[in-house]
Formats: sequence, structure tokens, C-alpha cells
Amino acid sequence: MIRGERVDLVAVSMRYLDDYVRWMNDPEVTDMLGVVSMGMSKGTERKWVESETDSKDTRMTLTILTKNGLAIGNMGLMGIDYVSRHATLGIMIGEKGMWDKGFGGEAIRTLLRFAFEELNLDRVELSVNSNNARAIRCYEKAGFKLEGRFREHTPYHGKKVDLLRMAVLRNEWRDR
Amino acid sequence: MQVRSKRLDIRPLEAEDAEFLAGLINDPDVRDSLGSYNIVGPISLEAEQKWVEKASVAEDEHNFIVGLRKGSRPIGAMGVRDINQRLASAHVSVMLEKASWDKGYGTEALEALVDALFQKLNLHRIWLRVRSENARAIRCYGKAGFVKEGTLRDDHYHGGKWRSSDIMSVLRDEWGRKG
Repeated sequence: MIRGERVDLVAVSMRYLDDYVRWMNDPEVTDMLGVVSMGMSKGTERKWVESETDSKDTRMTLTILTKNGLAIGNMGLMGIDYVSRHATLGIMIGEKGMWDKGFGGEAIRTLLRFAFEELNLDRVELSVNSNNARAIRCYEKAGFKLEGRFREHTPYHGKKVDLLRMAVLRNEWRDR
Repeated sequence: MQVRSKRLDIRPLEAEDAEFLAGLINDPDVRDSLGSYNIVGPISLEAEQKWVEKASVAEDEHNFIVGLRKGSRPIGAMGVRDINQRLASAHVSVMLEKASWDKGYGTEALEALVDALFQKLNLHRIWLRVRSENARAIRCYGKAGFVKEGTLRDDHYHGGKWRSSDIMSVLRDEWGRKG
């Protein structure tokens, strides 16, 4: 567990499999993830959990819990590169009832502290669809800065949306 | 190897112990107390099960669960690694649940393990690594007969800073002279 102020981060586990499946089959949730989802079977999701629970140096996948133990989403660091000292952050709040309450921002702040202060990374980056205003605002508040725009990158309801690249540097984060 | 002390039973790690160990490692205070380079962040029950499956049958190391004899409840774990019979040397480690800190259990368990290692494995030197800031652990190891050998400067990163570890050891003839 990584302790935050309003959330705790725990390792992804089969214990929350039913929650994961529910989230990944909710179009409102998957719509914004930047993936084209045709729905996710329990078997596929189980396979994903199995692979994520193989200890790997390059990934850390976590479930976000409220302080009373409710699983509300997943997040993680991928492509952890200890030579260049950067990683890619991903997050989804799967419980729609928990949107717009600041839990995502709190989870990001908690994981950034861990990335910079425990993993000793210099840079954390992410991608986000340009039409995902809620997420972009949340990332900006957490200290991420826009670095680039991949034009018409991601299919979205028959159109293409841009993909934004954002990152936060350790020194910027420390100065906040 | 079965080891007993006044209040504790130290028995081999079994596959069923994964849940207990995952609970220990997922307590941030316990994790911060560890010198291990390998335990980084939260661990899932499944990942710990995979580790325990291997560790509980490993032939080149010994892993133990430390339990209170009263109520036969697990309170911690110990490990013996880097066993080199030619050099007659081995590395030991210990971790305890928070509720069992400051009760002398660590010292007691370590003394019993060290005794068994000198006697059964016929070792000459038993050593460990401890975070230099972990005064509680250093005190415990000192009571168990370990002496500081030196410092690994800035050998790990924690809480936003480079930090150091101490190497401590106990030698066979020191152990023989002890109490």
C-alpha cells in the first residue's frame, strides 16, 4: 500500500476483478481512455491481472482505494526506465459516482510523490485525448505541462481527436 | 530447520504464508523499516504467492516465519541468503509486524537463528544490512551481538533523498564468548 491523504494505492489484485470488469464495460469510462473498447470479458481481464501481478521492474500497476476501502479505479506507471529515469503514468477512475470529487488528482499526487521520492525518477509523462477536458484540467493541477499534440491520432465516435502529450519534471514538482 | 526460543517458534516458510507476508510488506511503516533493495512498493497477494512458491522450496536459501508460541500466531519473517559454505558466511534478514515492535522479539528471533546457523551450518560470519537511520533495528541487532562494520554510503534512495546502509556482522568466536 502507498498511503495518500484521501486515497491509498494497493497492488492490482484478483480481489477487485469484478470491479475491473464492470469499469472496463462501462462506455462512459472507456470512452475517455484513448482505447477502442468493444467490451472486456472477465477472462480477458483475469489474464490482464495475472500478467500485472508478475513482478516486473518496468511496471507498477495499482488500484485506487478510498480510505474506507472502496476500489474506485486503477492507475500505474508503465515503461519505467531506470537509465533515463522516466515513466509513463496512466489512470482511470472507474467508479463514475466518484468523478469530480478530486480523488483522481489526489491519487496522481500520491503516485508522483512515490515516483520522485522513492523510485527516484526525473520525469513522469502521459498521453490524454484532447477532448478529455476533465482529465487535462486534473493533470494540469497536478503539475503536468503540455509538451506536444499528435494531430488526429485517436478514433473517437467516427472522428479523430488529437492526442496530447504532457509531462512533469521532478524539479518543477518539488518547487510546487 | 526448526528453531525455538523462549517465546517464539521459527519454522520454515510455507506456500500458505503468502497472505501474511503480503500484509506485512503492504504496511508502509514496515516497508520503510526494511533494508531490502528488492521490496519497492505495494505487492499483490498474487505476486507474493508466486514469490513464496519459489522461496518456500528454494535450496540455496532458508526462509522462515517467526511465530508467537502462545496462540501460534505469525508475527514476522526471517531469511538466510548468500550462503557461502566455503567462506562460511551468510546474510540474514528479519522483519516484524508493527504490533510486535519494541517487545524484544526481533532480538530473540535473531539470537535463536544466529545460534542455529553457527551450530548447524558451521558458519564463521553472519552479516546483515540495515538502513543507517533505522535506530530501532540497529539497537536490536546490537543486542543480538552484531557489530557495525561500515557504511554503504548513499546506497539507496528513499523519501526524496539518497540514504546509507550499515553493514553489521557477528563472528563465531564473538558469539561463543557472548553471555
